[in-house]
Amino acid sequence: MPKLWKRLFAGRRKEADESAKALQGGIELITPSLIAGWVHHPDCLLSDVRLLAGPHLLAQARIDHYRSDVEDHLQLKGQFGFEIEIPSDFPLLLIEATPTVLALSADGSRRFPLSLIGARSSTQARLTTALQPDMRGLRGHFDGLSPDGTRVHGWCYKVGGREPSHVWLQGKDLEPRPLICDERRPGMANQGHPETCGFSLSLADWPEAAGSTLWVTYDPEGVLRLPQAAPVQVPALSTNDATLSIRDAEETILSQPELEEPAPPRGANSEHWQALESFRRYLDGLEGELDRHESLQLRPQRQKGLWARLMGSDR
Amino acid sequence: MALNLTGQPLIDRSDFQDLLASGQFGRWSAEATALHERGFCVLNLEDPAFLDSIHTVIHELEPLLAEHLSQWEAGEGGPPRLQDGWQQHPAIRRLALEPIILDLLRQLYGREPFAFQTLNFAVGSEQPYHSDAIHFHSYPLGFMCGVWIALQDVTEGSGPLIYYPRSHRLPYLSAESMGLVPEQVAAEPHPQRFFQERWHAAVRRRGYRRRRFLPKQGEVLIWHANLLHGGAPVSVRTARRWSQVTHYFFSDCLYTTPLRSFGHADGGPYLRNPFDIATGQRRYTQRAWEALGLSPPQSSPQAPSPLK
Repeated sequence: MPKLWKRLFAGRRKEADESAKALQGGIELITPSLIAGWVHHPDCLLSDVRLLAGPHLLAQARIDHYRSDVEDHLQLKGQFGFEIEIPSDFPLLLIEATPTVLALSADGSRRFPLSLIGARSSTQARLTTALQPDMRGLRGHFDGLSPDGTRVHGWCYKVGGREPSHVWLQGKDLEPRPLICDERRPGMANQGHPETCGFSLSLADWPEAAGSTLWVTYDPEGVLRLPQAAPVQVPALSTNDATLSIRDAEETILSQPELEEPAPPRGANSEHWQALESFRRYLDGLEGELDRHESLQLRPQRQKGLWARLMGSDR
Repeated sequence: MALNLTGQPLIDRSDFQDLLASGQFGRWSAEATALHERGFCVLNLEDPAFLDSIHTVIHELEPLLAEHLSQWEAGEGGPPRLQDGWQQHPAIRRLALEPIILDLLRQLYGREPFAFQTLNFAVGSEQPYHSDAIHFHSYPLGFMCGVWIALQDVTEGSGPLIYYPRSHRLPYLSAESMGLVPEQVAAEPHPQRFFQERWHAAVRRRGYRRRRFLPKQGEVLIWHANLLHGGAPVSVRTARRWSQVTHYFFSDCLYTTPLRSFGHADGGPYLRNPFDIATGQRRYTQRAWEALGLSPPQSSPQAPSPLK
């Protein structure tokens, strides 16, 4: 008899696993104020998504957003998008139970755990971080490079917070740079945000970041990223910068008394450097394009301006 | 026990009219509309058992409060009241657990109600008008209400209940939203005073009109958590105004004292563990609280009501 039960149970579990495998989509964005994504199951009409901590229901939303990009991806018409707003005012000091996001069928009988698209294994850590008391209510956006390409900038604030928030500028193999969000950004109030919530960093103050891809996180550990519209690639040092660096070096060398002989003319070398630099930029461009295509394969491209709509970006 | 920290009371929802049209509130549709639009509704309970309990309450409390009432009539001391008399007087408990009231609350709020506090008055309370939602509130917001039962006919000079219809739509306030710090609140014996001017200004600015509740015995006023209400001055000190107020929370929420709730930097929200009058126990036992998977509240879950 126990064997029969075991076989029956194993059969049902296999069926459930198969059903879960058929689920498409998942979470695209986890921030301390919003969880967004899309979901579709070929055999089951899904109606709701829920954020739970253990057995406790913290937030919920309908799966009712039109996403033309998802429709194109699935070759289906329907409402597949969702956005769960995480309230900033949970009267809990700490949520110790494990957080999960579930998609539910209309009658609630079928439940599917959702994970972050392209970063499945980090889902739990990101949800846990997003629900930490010092994270709750944080809103922000990383705008990327300024139009003149000399700075990176964005904004972040905590709903109901009295002090300016901090964010951490991150790059691969780079020490995170803490930034304080206390710069004035005119026009933010029109979108329901405080005016003094901007952050920025001159790239001249972070030469190590040249050529790196940058992102910004709410936490120093780099678990929870601020949303951004596109990858942010810092240009490598330009010819002018390189020439300036070389000249700086020359000046240092020239200032040494034993090397006072004037340097030979460098006109021809300079042209070669220029050509090499142009080629390197071309390669960087190709690399960026490849990155973009890779991310497009992982998830459908969102509609233009959706991030801006979600996060109130001024871009 | 699982918390549900989402949603709103049905009477507060933006799709209230759709719910009403769909028959969601059944026999309580008129009461639901009144609570939604004006922040209160009135019932007349003429059930003999209910009236019996009313008579019993007065009969039991009269000798208990006699001395205090004499002092009050002589102009010494404040108006006497009995808090949480349900613990000693089954008739008070019966009124608090009146099935018709519980049925109405269940239908109008969409969750299971539970009575957590009773106050019995022999005379007018003369309380300045206020919103209960600073003393006790819930998360999600709004799952709290007050029920005022006239234990006798109320006359003008006895200091009737006053209230401001539609004031329930004012924003909910807390120590945090008022910009108060814990030291300020701790130093003030009556922290409600910090909020008074805000309410006065709102009443003046929005032109809310004060109403008096002059009910017959057995009539019941149910008010929204945020409705401004209080007690009119008593002009006839010998006049009695026997009444019972019962406060209700609803299931699966967290319960707070906003008057003592601050931002996380200042200690966070003040969580409370209310009584459930039906069981006679705190809503959460220590074990149940731990089973919620939450860290301990700022105060002990067994902490008494700050109004005590």
